[in-house]
Formats: sequence, structure tokens, C-alpha cells
Amino acid sequence: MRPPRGRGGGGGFRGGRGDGGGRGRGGGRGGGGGRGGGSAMRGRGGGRGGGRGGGRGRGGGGMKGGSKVVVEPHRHEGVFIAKGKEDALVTKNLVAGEAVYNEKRISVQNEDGTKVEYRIWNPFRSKLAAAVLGGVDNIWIKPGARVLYLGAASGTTVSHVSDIVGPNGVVYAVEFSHRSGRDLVNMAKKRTNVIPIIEDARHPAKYRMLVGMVDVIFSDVAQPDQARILALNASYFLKAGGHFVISIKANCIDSTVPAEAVFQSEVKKLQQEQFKPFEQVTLEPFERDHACVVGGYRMPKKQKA
Amino acid sequence: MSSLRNALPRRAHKERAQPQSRKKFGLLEKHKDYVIRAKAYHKKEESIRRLKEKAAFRNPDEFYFKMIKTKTVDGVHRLEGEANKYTQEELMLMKTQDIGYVLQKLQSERNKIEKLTTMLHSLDNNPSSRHVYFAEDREEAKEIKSQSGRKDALPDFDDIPDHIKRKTAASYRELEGRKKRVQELEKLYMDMSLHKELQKKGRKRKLREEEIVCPTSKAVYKWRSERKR
Amino acid sequence: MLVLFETPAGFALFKVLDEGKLSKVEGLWQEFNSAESARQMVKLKAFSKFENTSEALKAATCLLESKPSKDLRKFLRTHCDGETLAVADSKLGNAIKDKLKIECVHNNAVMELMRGVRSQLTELISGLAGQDLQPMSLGLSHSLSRYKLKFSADKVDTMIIQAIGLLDDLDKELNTYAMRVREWYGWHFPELAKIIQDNILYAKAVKLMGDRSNAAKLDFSEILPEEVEAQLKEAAMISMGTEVSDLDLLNIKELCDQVLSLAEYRAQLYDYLKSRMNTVAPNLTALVGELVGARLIAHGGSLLNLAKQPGSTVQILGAEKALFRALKTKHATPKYGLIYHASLVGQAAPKHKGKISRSLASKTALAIRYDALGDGQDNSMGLENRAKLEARLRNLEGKELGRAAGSAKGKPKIEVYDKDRKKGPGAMITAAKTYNPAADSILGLMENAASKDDEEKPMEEVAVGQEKKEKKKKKSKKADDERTNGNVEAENEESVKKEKKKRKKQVVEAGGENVEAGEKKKKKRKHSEANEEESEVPSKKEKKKKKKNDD
Repeated sequence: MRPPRGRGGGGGFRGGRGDGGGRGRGGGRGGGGGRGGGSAMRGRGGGRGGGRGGGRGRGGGGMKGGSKVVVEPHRHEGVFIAKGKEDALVTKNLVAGEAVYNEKRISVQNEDGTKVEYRIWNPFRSKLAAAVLGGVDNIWIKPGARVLYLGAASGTTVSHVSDIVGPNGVVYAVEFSHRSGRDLVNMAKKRTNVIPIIEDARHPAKYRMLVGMVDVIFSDVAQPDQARILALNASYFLKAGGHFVISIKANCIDSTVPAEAVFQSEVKKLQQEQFKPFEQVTLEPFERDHACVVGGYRMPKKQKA
Repeated sequence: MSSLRNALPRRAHKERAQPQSRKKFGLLEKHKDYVIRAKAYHKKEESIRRLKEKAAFRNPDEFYFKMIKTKTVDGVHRLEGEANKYTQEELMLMKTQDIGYVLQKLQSERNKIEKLTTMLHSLDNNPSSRHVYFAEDREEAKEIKSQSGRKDALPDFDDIPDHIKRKTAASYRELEGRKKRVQELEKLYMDMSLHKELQKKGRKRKLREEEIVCPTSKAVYKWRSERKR
Repeated sequence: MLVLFETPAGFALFKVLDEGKLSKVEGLWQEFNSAESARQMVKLKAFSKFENTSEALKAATCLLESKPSKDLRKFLRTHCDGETLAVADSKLGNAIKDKLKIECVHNNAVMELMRGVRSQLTELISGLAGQDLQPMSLGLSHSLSRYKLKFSADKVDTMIIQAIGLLDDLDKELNTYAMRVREWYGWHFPELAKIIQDNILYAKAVKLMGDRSNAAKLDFSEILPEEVEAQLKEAAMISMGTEVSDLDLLNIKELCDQVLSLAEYRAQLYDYLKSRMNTVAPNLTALVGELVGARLIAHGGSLLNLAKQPGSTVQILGAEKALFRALKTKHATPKYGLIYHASLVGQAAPKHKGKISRSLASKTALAIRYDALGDGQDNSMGLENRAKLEARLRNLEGKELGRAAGSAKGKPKIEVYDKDRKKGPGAMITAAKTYNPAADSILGLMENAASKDDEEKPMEEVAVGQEKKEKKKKKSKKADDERTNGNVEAENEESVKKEKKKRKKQVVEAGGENVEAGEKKKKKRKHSEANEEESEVPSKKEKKKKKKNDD
């Protein structure tokens, strides 16, 4: 009897994708080695910088078989979508070759040969990304915008906002905690469009010297009086006709009341302070009992035609 | 003449390797590799045949002196002393090592899941969040309603080549597989730790059906509360 | 009315041209919609520029506390006379009123005015463009943040990580160069390599000597001890090496210079590292020492990262390879990593090294957190904990002595004989076996370089130690397996300090007496057993006494 034709002469069978089902079967000779080898390959492919073969930007008609990732622009300007082994929201890296919080990066080669690097935006860690994936119509943060970011923490989302606004925009990042402030300042050293401010957002008078008028205020402070904080900062720094994006955590305002009621009460408080809310999106499935409200400030009254 | 042939230098023929497009199948087997494999296979085949032969010609009246003490259970010869091979401490140590191994695998799977979820955001599904619009008056509400229908259409993903779609699908399948594995490992870990606790000293009893607060499929034990010194 | 407006470039004083509009607060912001209407509303009266960032920083910090700085006061005094001043901060307004007797006002209208001015700032201040303002704002914000975060340049742990990396590199380089000197000079004078073992002394000798024919005339007393010098001079006469030219000797001497200067630099670097460690992490240094502390920080990446690790991780930092191998193959995990080289673990007996390393690791984790996140600057906490640990070590060894001395009750447990049960620990309790590459070459035995693998070292040292002791056992007396452990323990106790030896003598003698007393009361079988033990104990005693006499 002839010996059966083995798959690749014994040893580690680095199986293709079709072996996904087989992996579920634990144990096994190929299982352990293959899994290790497979995930190592995926890790390498997962785009840890260092140019891999070209994905194409959108509109490239006949895409060649060598591309591994496709990056397309999202509805929001400055935000992109990457498809390949990843299926993720990405922003274009302002400082190519560096990761801010050990996120994965994707390198893509354009038709004219230049390499562009994108950083993956994690919606589990960033409320703004969760809002974008939740389908909010307009985040108002676009290339060239001036943004005041309240509650910057260690600067993970601030870095993405800085990527979106680009070198022509500015991000004023306000954070009160010293521990996070240190990380924020270190991040700001690399990105010159981020201005770190280690102050309490409740007293915008204290940093009035550093901030000019801004187009958008993003607030992620998680305080019970966050509506008042937003109003105070807007009265100092937000231009008329400017916009705001606020992330509301129901637990932190009032944990006894159901989340919907909390969101309604917050929206009402905002309406009393010359804010005009446009839309509200809950951040499921990334966060529980969180909502993101987007609106305008001192909007000019629309003339009825 | 053979001697002249040896004088002329000729290019050595190199062995051909697996082509790049078939690299995923591993090493390209040559005759010498086949011979090794075939020999191993035939040797195993031969030994099985011989054993079968011996079993077929077994003498039912055979007797050896060791048969006095030992016995076979279901046709499998059970060695003596297997029951008392390890002391209690050694058994507990082995259980700790097993549970440590399972925990190690569990943590590694969890880490991999975390890494995968950072880059797999399920962009193709419709968002499961509630979207509320605010309007000042009825006209604005009508305007918003008409506009929202337009915005629901996601950016088209038709011009993504097939191989990329396959890669994404494979990533999601991997994520699913890992999640399932984490669940199974967690269950296993819980079982093993319970088993280990049961072996320790300490007065305990098994709760009856009616005493259990949240009924599960597993047994629930209650320990007598004693102050640890 | 005047408006005081602070910008990153300096202080600006605007004059309000149309005060009537101030009463209509809601419509005020519309005035500032365009540059023209803004200019009709306010006009720049005076501007006081900041000369450099430090001046701006000073002004900004004073503003944070709502106090007018000296420059601001001067500026206001010169330009603001008789008019009311609109300020954005009421506390600042009060302070200005107190100090300069200028009336200050702060209300909604003022806030709207500020908003308007801010939106049209570049238009209203002619010399200031948007592009200039942003870098100034950036620089000022960074200085302000550094001031707020109390950034202190000598608490940076990057220096430590770089210094320890450089130390390891230097050691390697020094070793390479020294070997090269030996090889190179060995062409001329091969015997010298075996006479002088130390690298630095070799280089010094070569530098002094040059050609070996000069050896007889020169005096090596500063470099080498007497016998070595004599050996050298002798060997120089009868050396079998070849002659070398002066040019070659010159180059060899230059290499020796390099070696010596590198050695000097290494010593200097070590001092620098020690001083830095004492500044950055004083408590950690007090507990484990500078070198081990620096290695721990370098391994963790930064002091803050290290502070996040629990004590159990600190215990096996550096032995990750052994740890994961043991977890995968279900063997015993390693008991110590980098911590093994701390003096507290070094001075413990091998049996207690595991326990002490665990206690030390937990206290070390506390000290690291105190240094990384606390405010204290002294090392009192580290010293306290070190004293506690030393007390614990003494306690441990005392307990051991008590147990080994034997008592009426403390007989070893006699287990029922079961021929199938495995004797000894077996694979489960020992560490996973690894291939020990150091056993191959003899060069490894000669060098005692610090740049060996840390994770392999403790394992192989322990294994080697155990093997040596067991070999001694087999040579000196016949003993079966269960006694070996007891004897190993006894031998380990010998290596403890002299004070303990006195205590031991008394305990051992007491133990001997107890055994004799108990003997009379026991039955025949136990009698014979006790006899056996007693015969072993006195023979152990004799051996100990013999060794003490030798010492």
C-alpha cells in the first residue's frame, strides 16, 4: 500500500485560510504550531509599519492582486476606512513611523509610489470613534479646523483629532490630572498642532492666554456639571456658529435614573445655554449608557424662505 | 573518455525548491524525503501486521506467573500501583500545574482577542446605536426626516477586490473561534479550580436542588466557615 | 473704558470707542462679525510684548494665581490712567484695584467684548499675524505645563536606562579589546598571558614594558605584586616569542592606552550610575543595591512601568524564558530572576533563597511604587524594609537550626513503605531541565563576566551547587536518599557567620543530650533507630568540629 500523500511533507503545515474551521478543533499536530505560525503571520500582516505591498486608494480601477489593504475615505473628511485583514476606522498619521499608544499602523503605497501611513482608531477606547461608527451625521472636526478638547486624558483620542485636523488646524487639549498630563505633554512634543494645557476645565479664565477662538469644542470630561463647563468654555472660546460635541456618561450624572432620562435632561440644560443640539447617538456596542450629542452654538436664525 | 569528462568543469545541477506560489504547502518533497516517509510508514504497517498475527494466534491457555496479581480491564492491562502512584501533595501540585497551564492559554487567548477587536470594527453592519435628531419645529423635523433617508446609505464597498473580502472574513472567523475557545477555557478553568478546592481540607457539603439560589448544571458546594489562622 | 487682553505675545490694552453699544449685551457679538465693525468698536491703545518665553512664563504663572505681575503693573500704570479697566478675571480685577487703584469691571458685557476681541485679534493688532501667534502659544503652553507638572530634570529615569545599557556595552568592548591585547602581545611574549590574569594589569604591564627585554631593568612594583613580578622577569629571559619592531610595539601600546582609558571611563560611569540611582529611586537602591535596581528599571522600560508590576512579577523579572518554558512543560517555575543578584538573596542559604527572594520582591515592589509615584526624597522607607527583611532572614535560619538540632517530639515522619511510589521529588518539583551551554567550553569557567545571561545563571548555579554538595556526600560517607537532604542542610548551615556557629554548638549539644535522654525511655526498635540517629549526629558533629578547626 502506498503511503498517503501528506500535505507538505510532515512538519508545520502553514495552512491557508480554509483551515479556520480546523483550528477550532484544539490540540492536534498542526494545531499548536499552525496557530502560532498563523497568528504570527497575521501579526506581521497586521501592518506594524514598515511598508508592505500596496493597497490602493479609492477609484483605482483594476486593482492588482498584490495589494493587501484597501483604504477608502469615510463620509467624514479626514477619516478613512481600511479593509484587509483589518476592518477598521483609521486616520492618517501626522507623524509617520510612530505609534502613540501602541496601536496598529497600516502602510499603504500610492500609485505614484509614495507611502502613506494610517493609524487604527480604536472605538473601544475613543468616544469620538464610537460616535463615528454609531452613524453620527457630522462630527464637524475636519482638516484645518481649530478644536478645543476638554478632558484630554493621556492624549489617545487627541492624537487622532490632531491627525484629522492636519498641520493647518490646532487642537487645544485641556487635562487636569498630572499623571495623564505628563503623557499628554509627551505626545504633544511630537505633534506640533497639539497645545497641551494642564488646567481645570472649570476655570477657562486660567488658560485664556493660550487659546484663541475655536470652531469646535469636544468635551469628554465625565463630570456631573459638564453642561456648565461646556457653556463656560463656549462663552470664552467658541465662535458664533461654532459646533460642539459632548459625550455624556449617564452613570456619572445620575446613576439612579435611567440613561434616556439623563440624556434628555442634559440636552435640556444645553438648550438653555444658547446651544442648539442637532443629534444624539448612543455609543452601543462600544460603551454602555453613553451618548454623544452634537450641536451648534449661537446658530444664526434661519430665514424662512 | 571518462577522464576527459572529469577534467571539464560543468555547472552543478541544483535541486529545485517549492515554487513561490505554492509556498504555503511547505517543503517540496523529493525522492529521498519520500523514501524516508515510505520506510516509516511501511515499518509501522509491518509491525501492526505482526501484532495482528500474534493476536490471531494467541494461545487461550497461556499462563505467566505475573497473571496471579494483575488483571485486564476491558482488554487493557492496568498496571499495579497506578492508583497509589502519587501522594496527595504531588497530586495537588500536578493539579496546580495543569490549572496554571490552562490559565496561561486562557490569558493568551484573551490578549489575542483584545488585539483583534482593536482592528475589527464590524464596519459593514448597520450601527446598533439609537440615533435621535433634534428639531425646533415641524418644518425642520420634516426636513431632517427627508435628509436622514439619504444618509443611511453607507459608502459603497463594492469595489473591494475578492481577496481582500476573503481576508476580512477570515479575520472575523478567527475572532469568533477565539471567543468560543475563551469560553470553553473559562469553563474548564472553573471546573478544575472547583475540583482542586474539593480535594483540599475543609468541611463542605453539596447543596441540594431546593437550596441552590441560582440553579446551574453543575453541583454547588458550601463550605463551613472557619477562621483561617 | 479700556480692555485688558492677554495674548501669548504680550499684554494688549484696547480702548472701547463706542460705549453705548455695551448696554446691549446680546447684540454685542454681532459688532465683531467683521474686521471693519470690530475696528470701530475697539482700538488698540498699547501693547507690551514679552521679550522671551521665560518672561511670558512668569506673566502666565502670575495670571494663574490672579495676581498682576510686575511688568503688568508697570504697563497698566503707564497706559491706564483715569479710565475703568475691563478684565476677564474678577479676582485679578480686585488685585489690580488694591495695588494700582485702577477701577476694574467684570460683567457679561465685558465677557462679550472679550469674545469679540479674541475672534478678531489678528485684525485688531496689526503687527501680529495668525502664524506668529500659534508657535508662541505652543511654546508658552509647553513651558507652563512643565512648570505645572514640576518637571525636574534629575528625576528622569531615561538616564539610568541608557547608563546601564552603556555599562554592559562597555564591559563587552573592554573584554574584546583586552583579549585582543593579549593575543597581539602574545606573539612577542606568550608567557605573560598566563602570568598576569587580570586584563587591566596586563595592559599596564605591557604599556610599561614594551619590549620584553626591558622587563629586567624596570620596576613593576606599582602594578604587580612581588611574586608575579619575579615570574615575569624570569619568563622574560626565557620567552619563546618572536621579536617585534618598535612600530608594532607603539601600536600595541596605543591599544593598551585605549583599554586603560575605557576601564577608567567604566569606573566613572559606574559612579555616575550610582549617584543617579540614589537621586531617582533612593528606596529601591536601599533595598536591592544600585546595579540590580538599575537593571530592574531598564528591564521594565521605565520606573513608572515597573511600578505597575505586582511583587510576583518583580520576583521573576529577567527569568521570562525559564518561566514560560516551565509553564508550558508543567515544571516548577523559577523562583528568582534579576533579584537573585541582590545582596540579601546572596547572603541567604540556598534553601532560603526562594523565600527571601519572594519577601524581597514584595518589599521591592512597594519601594518602587513609593519612588515612582510618591513625593518623598529620602530612603528611610527602603532602609526600614531592609532591616525587616534581614530580621526575617535571621528568623528563618534560626528556625532551621532549631529543627535540625532535633527534639523529642520533632522526629521525621515515618511513612509506610510503598514500593511503587516514587522516591524523591521527581519531575514535578524540580525545574525543567535545559541544555547548559556553559558546560561546553572551558573559557566560560575562566571568565566571571557580568554579561552572562541572567536567567540561566541562577538556574545553573543552583543546579551546580546542589550537584557539588551531593558529590561531597557520596565521597565522605554512605548515606541513603532521605538523609542526604538533612546532610545538605547541615552543610549549608556551616556557611553562616561565626556568631551563629557558637549558637549552633550549644543547640547541637543540647540536641545530643535530648536524644540520649529520650533513648532510655523508648522501645527496642526505636532504640536502635535512635542509636542510628545518634551515631549520625555525633559523626556530623565531629565533621563540623574538624572543619571549624580547619577554619
